[in-house]
Amino acid sequence: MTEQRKKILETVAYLKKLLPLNYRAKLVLIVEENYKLPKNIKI
Amino acid sequence: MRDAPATFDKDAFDNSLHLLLARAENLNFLIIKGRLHFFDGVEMRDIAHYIYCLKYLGVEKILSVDEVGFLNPRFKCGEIALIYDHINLMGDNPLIGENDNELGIRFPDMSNAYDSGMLLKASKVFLDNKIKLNESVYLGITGPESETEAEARFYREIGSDVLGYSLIPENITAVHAKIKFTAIGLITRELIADRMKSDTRTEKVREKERINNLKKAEGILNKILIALLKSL
Repeated sequence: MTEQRKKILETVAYLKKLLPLNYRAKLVLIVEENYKLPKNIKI
Repeated sequence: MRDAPATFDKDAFDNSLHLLLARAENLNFLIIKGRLHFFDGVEMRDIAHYIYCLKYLGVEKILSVDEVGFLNPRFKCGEIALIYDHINLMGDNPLIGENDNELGIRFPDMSNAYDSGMLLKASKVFLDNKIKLNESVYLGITGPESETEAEARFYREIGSDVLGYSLIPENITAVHAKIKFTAIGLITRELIADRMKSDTRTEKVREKERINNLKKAEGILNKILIALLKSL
């Protein structure tokens, strides 16, 4: 395994601990830090 | 040969990027708020890192929103650009270095870098809502300085409609990782070569107008954002 993938899997393991069990989302929205999201999106 | 990211680790998700769990009209999706920018001295592979992480989290599609300047004289500040292709003039690439075949193949095909199916669905949402849609070739450059008049003329002549500093490494990595990708530009700056010298606004005024244009474009996008996400 490359060092690159090893680090990716470490980060993924860390993120999975933060996510609810069995959480699955197939879509991602990427925005800048200062983007004002509409109020009807619940975070 | 480059392999591991030089500086990026999981802490970046706490410090630079905010991974948010979002829900709207029965749609669950993730939001990454914040970006790593190449002009901040971040390695391309560090930017690639969070895209690969999405792959391992089961993500299949990305909608990325970036602020852009326009080179196409038919466009206006405060409008939206739907990006269907790009030109990489960043002088770097997140795939340079050892290739891990588990992440993606050595020579990924960029002929559908901005997924045509997603573009079609996004276009329909814009048309249905009677929002002007500027189909664009995105030029990726490093920034952070603004463009010279000669650069703006050159960028337009090689076929670019808008330019920005952020999308290229995200897109190339997504293609490599087989994540479908589409992108929207929020048009905030005019970069029409022949008009640049006659622009007498102060830097302060320009910055204020840029922020106003960003708010205007965000407002337009936000009106259809959920419909757009649901359509993808």
